Amino acid sequence: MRNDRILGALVLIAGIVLYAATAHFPGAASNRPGPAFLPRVLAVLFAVSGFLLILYRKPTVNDASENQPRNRFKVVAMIAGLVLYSMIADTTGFLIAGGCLTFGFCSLLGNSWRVGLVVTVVLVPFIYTIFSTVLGVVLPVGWLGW
Amino acid sequence: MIADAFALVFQPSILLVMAVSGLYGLFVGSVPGLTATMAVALMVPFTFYMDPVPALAAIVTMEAMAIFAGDIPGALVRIPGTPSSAAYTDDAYALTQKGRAQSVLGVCLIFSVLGGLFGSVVLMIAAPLLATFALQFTSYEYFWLALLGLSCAALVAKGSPLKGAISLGIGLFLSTVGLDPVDGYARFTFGYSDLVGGVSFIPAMIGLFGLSEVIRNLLRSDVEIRIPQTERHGVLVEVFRLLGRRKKSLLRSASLGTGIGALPGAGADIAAWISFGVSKRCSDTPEEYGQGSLEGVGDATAANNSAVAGAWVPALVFGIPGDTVTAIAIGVLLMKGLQPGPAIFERQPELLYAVYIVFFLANLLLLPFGYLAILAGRRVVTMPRRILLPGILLFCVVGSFAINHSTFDIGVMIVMGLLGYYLEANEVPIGPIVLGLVLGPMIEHHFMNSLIKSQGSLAQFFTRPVAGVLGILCLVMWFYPFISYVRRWRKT
Repeated sequence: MRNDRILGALVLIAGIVLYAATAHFPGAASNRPGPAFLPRVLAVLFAVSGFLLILYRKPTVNDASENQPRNRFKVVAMIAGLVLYSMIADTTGFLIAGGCLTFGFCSLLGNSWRVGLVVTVVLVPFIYTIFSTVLGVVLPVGWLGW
Repeated sequence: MIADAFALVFQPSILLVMAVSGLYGLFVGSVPGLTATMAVALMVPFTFYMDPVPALAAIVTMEAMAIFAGDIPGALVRIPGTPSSAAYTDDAYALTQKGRAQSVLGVCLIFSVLGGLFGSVVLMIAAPLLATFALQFTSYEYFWLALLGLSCAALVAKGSPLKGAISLGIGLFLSTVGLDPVDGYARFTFGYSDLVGGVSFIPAMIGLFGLSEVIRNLLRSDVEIRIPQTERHGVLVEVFRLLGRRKKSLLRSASLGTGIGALPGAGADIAAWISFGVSKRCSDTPEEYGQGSLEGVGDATAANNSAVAGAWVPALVFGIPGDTVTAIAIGVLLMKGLQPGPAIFERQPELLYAVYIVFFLANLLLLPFGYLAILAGRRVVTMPRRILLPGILLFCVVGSFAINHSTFDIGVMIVMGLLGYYLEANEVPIGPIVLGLVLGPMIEHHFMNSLIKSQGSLAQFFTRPVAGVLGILCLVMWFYPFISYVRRWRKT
């Protein structure tokens, strides 16, 4: 969906908030501007761009498939799954948290539980092996101890 | 020196890295909806653990393969595998419907290889020449050059320049998060110690290009993919006939592609569009363009592959990326403590020669790998997305976590993914964000240093000849849209 009016308003507000956020930054020295200089230039850029976008907006375009509540639910559920993963991964470990995330996401995509199980059983140990064994990345260990 | 470079590249481990990343690039490019940039972003966590040469070899090979592979779904099912193939997808598909899929894919392969090789020759010749010149640059020239690159990225990027500027502003803003380069003051960290060092580059890239792609696929209702029947003769039968007639136009397209690729923000997709347009204008049969022109497809595909090498010229010489992929590659080099720029030509020339060799090798590897990809194309293109997406999502999660071993970075990836999706849905190009993120610290550093040197005088920014020319170019670029608007307004 394209909506220049909303995008322009958001960018305009971002410019104002950004400028206000630099109010407590240290001031300029005699031979150079201070740390607020670039953020303030950007704040002005955002404010002007947002204003111009609202002024010269194109007609709003709606995408039917994006507006389907079912598809939107999938995105919200996926983000919730990712947040949950980052909350429990340190406790349960990568294999359990990653397995739950993969199986849940497979179900969300409309795969049968059998396909979901196969994908999870193949994918999670595969990624664990690549990152942990080949690259030496320490993935969260958790309950299983490895 | 050249022998050292050959020794650096022709090691079994590096050749294996090139082969694996090439196959990965072919796979990602062939799957509709997955972009070459996403593939590079997901590959970055791996390159983080490699030495500079294999890391660059992996990125270069993967990109060259993915750009070609994007032609396969474009020709077979009219869905370009990467944005670079969009310019000639209609023509390629029209030829497929006429039963000439093998011919069109053969032309795409050979013209891509030739375009890529041409770009590699230009890179090898132009980069050292420019580097000798760039050695005399000071912070004034670098400031203007970086600003010129950013301005170019906003103005040349797809869609409206206003939206390009917004995207660039977001990238620059993200680059200000963390300690300020001169005073060490913590900006926009909101009390999070994870933000003191700035927004993590890799999770940001994975979010912008990987997670946003997953979101886009989730919101898209699945469409059944059908492939028309094709001719039974070999892939290369028509290629040599066409090559005999189109030597000059191939040279023109490859030169155009390399030149456009070197413009920051332009990239392979714009190179293909422009080359296709020029090809039509110069053709004896312009009426065939849009209805299935093999000539148009060949010219445009040569341009997009030559643009890949072109984008590395400003990246290696000035540290100014030519496109999103080179911006990510510069990010990788910076993480490894290597600052691209003229000094690298003096201090580590073997690394540069290794990059040239990698470019030639990647394009030569494209011949056998691409041929196999054409044969396997039908199966890959119709691979169900609901099996692929869980793998991509898990790679996004683990790739974001891997660099700093921090779940905070997964949060960064989620935020950037949502931002990337929202911006693209509103036709805001996300490439300039990467350029802003990479060039932001460079601009601020050189600007502050220049002011300190000149005791706060802005006049010094124009007194050195090269700096003056670059500065004027920059100002012309900013004010040209206003001047042309006023001119048009006065005429009407």
